[in-house]
Amino acid sequence: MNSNETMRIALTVNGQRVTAEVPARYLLADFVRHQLRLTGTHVGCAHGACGACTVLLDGRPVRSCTIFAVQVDGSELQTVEGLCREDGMSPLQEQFRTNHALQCGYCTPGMLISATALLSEIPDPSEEQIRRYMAGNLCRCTGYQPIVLAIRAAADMINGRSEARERSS
Amino acid sequence: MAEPRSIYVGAPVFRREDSRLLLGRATFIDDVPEPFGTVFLAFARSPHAHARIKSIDTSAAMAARGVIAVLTGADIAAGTKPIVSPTLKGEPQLVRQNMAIEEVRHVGETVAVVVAENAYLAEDAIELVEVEYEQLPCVLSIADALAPGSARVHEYLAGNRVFNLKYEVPGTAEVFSRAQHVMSDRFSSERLSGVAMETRGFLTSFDRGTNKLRHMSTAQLPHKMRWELADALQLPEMSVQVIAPHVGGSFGMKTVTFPEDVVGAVISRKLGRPVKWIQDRQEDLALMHAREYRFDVEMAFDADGHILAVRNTAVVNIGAYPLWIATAGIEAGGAGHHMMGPYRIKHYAYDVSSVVTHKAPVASYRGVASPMCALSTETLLERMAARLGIDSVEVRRRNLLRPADLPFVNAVGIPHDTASHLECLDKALALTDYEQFKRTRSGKLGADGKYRGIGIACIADHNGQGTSIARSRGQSSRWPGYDGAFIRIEPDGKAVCHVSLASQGQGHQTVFAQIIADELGLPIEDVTIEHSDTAMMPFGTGTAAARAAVAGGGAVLKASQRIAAKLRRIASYLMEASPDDIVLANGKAAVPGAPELSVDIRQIAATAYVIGPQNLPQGETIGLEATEFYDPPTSSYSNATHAVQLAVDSKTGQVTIEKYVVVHDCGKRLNPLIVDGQIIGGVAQGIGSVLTEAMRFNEEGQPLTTTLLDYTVPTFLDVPRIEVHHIESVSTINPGGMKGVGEAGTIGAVPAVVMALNAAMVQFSSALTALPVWPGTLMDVMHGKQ
Repeated sequence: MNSNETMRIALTVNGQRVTAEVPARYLLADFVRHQLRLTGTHVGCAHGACGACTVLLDGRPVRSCTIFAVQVDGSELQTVEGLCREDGMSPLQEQFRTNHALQCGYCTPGMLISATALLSEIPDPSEEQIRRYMAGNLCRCTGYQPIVLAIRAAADMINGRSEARERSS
Repeated sequence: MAEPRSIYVGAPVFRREDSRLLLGRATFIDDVPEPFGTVFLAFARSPHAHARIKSIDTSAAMAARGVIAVLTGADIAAGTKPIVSPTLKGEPQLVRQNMAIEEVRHVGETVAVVVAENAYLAEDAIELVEVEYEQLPCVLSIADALAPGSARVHEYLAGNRVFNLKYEVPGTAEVFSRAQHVMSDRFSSERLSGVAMETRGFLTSFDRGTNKLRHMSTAQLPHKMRWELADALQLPEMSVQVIAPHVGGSFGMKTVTFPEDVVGAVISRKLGRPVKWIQDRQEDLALMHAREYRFDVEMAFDADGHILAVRNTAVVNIGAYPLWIATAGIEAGGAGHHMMGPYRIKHYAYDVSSVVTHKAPVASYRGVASPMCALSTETLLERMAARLGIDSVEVRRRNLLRPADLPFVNAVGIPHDTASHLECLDKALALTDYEQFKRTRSGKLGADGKYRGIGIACIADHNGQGTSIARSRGQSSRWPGYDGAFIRIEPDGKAVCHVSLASQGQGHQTVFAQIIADELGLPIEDVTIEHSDTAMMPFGTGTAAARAAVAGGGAVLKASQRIAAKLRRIASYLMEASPDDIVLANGKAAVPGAPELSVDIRQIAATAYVIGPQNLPQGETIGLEATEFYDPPTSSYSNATHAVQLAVDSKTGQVTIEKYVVVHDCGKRLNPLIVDGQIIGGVAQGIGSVLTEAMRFNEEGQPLTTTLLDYTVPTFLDVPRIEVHHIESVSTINPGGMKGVGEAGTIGAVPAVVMALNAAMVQFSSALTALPVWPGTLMDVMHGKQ
């Protein structure tokens, strides 16, 4: 393949339809960061080992540094910019702040995305389940413990809220 | 005078940095929008540890699509001054080119740079740079470097030793010769890397109209980088602006101005275009190292286990070139300085050196030499206890500094003013049920096929050093010891403070705002902290060596107090009250008990800027601002006991940490959330240094661990829950009562984990003395191969 060949792709990014002309060899991470200018997604290693670049592709966590942008044609993509709600931070974001689950914050978007996927798969995870699910995301600042606590607290918050909603309806 | 009320200081205030980081709106270096015309770099690097460059052919790369220029060492040398470092007395200075010219001295040294329209095209063209090398013999280890007749890394130097510092408390040699017991051993560590989650990078722009360089970079020490760039490009310092945006961790590794920064600036000046480079992870792992040590440590004891004297002969492998300009001795100096730890040691001597080899140059890494110092002393102390038949906890008790000993000036002249060594020890023992565990489980094989071990380590963490201490360690005068703060209350009554310390995740924008809000009586929302821009920040030493809270906190406090005094004076004039009766709180200056005597700080600000209805009192200057510097008169010592219970699988050598307790004392805690974060994060890195990490090389000097699958930092599954408890022995050395906290977690974790491993393996081996300790090491121990 010629290094300057481009392809046209169409996808949904954080709920919005996007069409773009993208170089065929562009990594998804580079497309998201440098073409869409959604720079919340970070690249930590570019070889699929650290998890900082994790995004949700059709609801599943993938490493945007090891797939090409052209592979996501027709998909639904969610990045950290799509996690917050109109009224502010999501329960996970709130709990990361409350539990001091970030220091430099570079790995944080990937952590939030993986944790979002975790809570959608396992709404009430044990500490062991959290640690196993999250083991592909590296953090060098926090020692992980506050992240585990934040995810657990967010699960409580989400479960508590949904129970409250069920009761009121 | 009424003391300011502590509303924020000491409280677990949530971080003010967090929301932008959590929402994906923080700007790291690679997120900065590139100015129009930005070009991108990729570097061709030496694949050899030592080789002569016979020829470089850049023509194919030059002809590649999107390539604007290809430069080699000679081109770069034409546009910059080489980096010059001092060496031993009487020897020529050590010169480092910013890009290799005739000879490469480590794998990864740059030999050419491609400038292209985007990063993809720059990397494509790198493949087309043809370099012909003649491979030369390489010197890799400390032993090789010091061997008589070994090859010299720099031919014009007499040998490979480039730094040597000696010190002896008079009488030390005599104490050793007369001591009843002397324990000694060699302790060593393989190289580590800090592995900040964000790699290095820069976006630099030289303005050829004004002859000014604007260098955005992942700098940990922006002022140091400004000076180094100014020197390399022969510009006045005022013509270089270094700005660090959000920086994704550093741990000491980004303190260094690497040659790529200089090359980028030279190219921007040459082409008149902004230049961008983001280091990839392989470059990061191949190039950013620290802590390759060899310590020969001796300890003399009396028959009751009292330490009589300590001697450390240490050598540090600093790689091919000293990176800390003006000193190759940052790690070696630490090896000399930190050996006494928390113990009452009167006689002490050191002889510390740095050697050059054909490996990548080192920077400093969290704790520098202290983890190794603590590992050596704790190991020898335990071994002595075993020989004397005294419990090792009891031997620690006999040697730890007691309250009655304080203040205690240690053998390198630094006072321990306040401390809680025995309290920390007792609490850690109680929390881990130490005696019971040691008696019933430690050293024994459980029914699950695992050996259990319990270990403790007592540490004193040297931090917050001022200029006098930096000088005594032979450190660069460009890294002095004081820090600065410039605070201004704006006409709308809100305060901004520029500090001389950049942040790489430590939470400066929260902690310093807590201090100012309390001193000025403002809600914290009305206080903003700015850092990391040399055009705005006062000159200072910067964030490193667990000194920000002490030196930066001191400067912030002093500047706040000057402004608070002026607020009171103006308020006193406006209210006709004595300034001594006025308290600043809740955004007001008020006299307690006199409700009518209250004025908004906003109104005082308006008066200060003469934009309100009132005039300034006679003799007051316009505005509300102050710049202050704080130079700690000496250093501070934090202290801690770490206690670890772990299991070693007898079939695999796999280690599981089952309980981890830290009892810590860093004096006044400004923000308990942030303090705990520093300790726990530090422990995680210490665990990594022992159990999971090492930078490995083959016999040709080829780094083998250049991906995060090979260089394995601890994951969610490697770091256990860490319990942190506190004792607060407030410092008497600085006005805020603070001590540093950034490094202590790492310094305690390394010896504590190794002591627990020694305890688990007690029936097989005397002690583990080389880091790392991987499952294979432990299998060898269990099979009697060690």
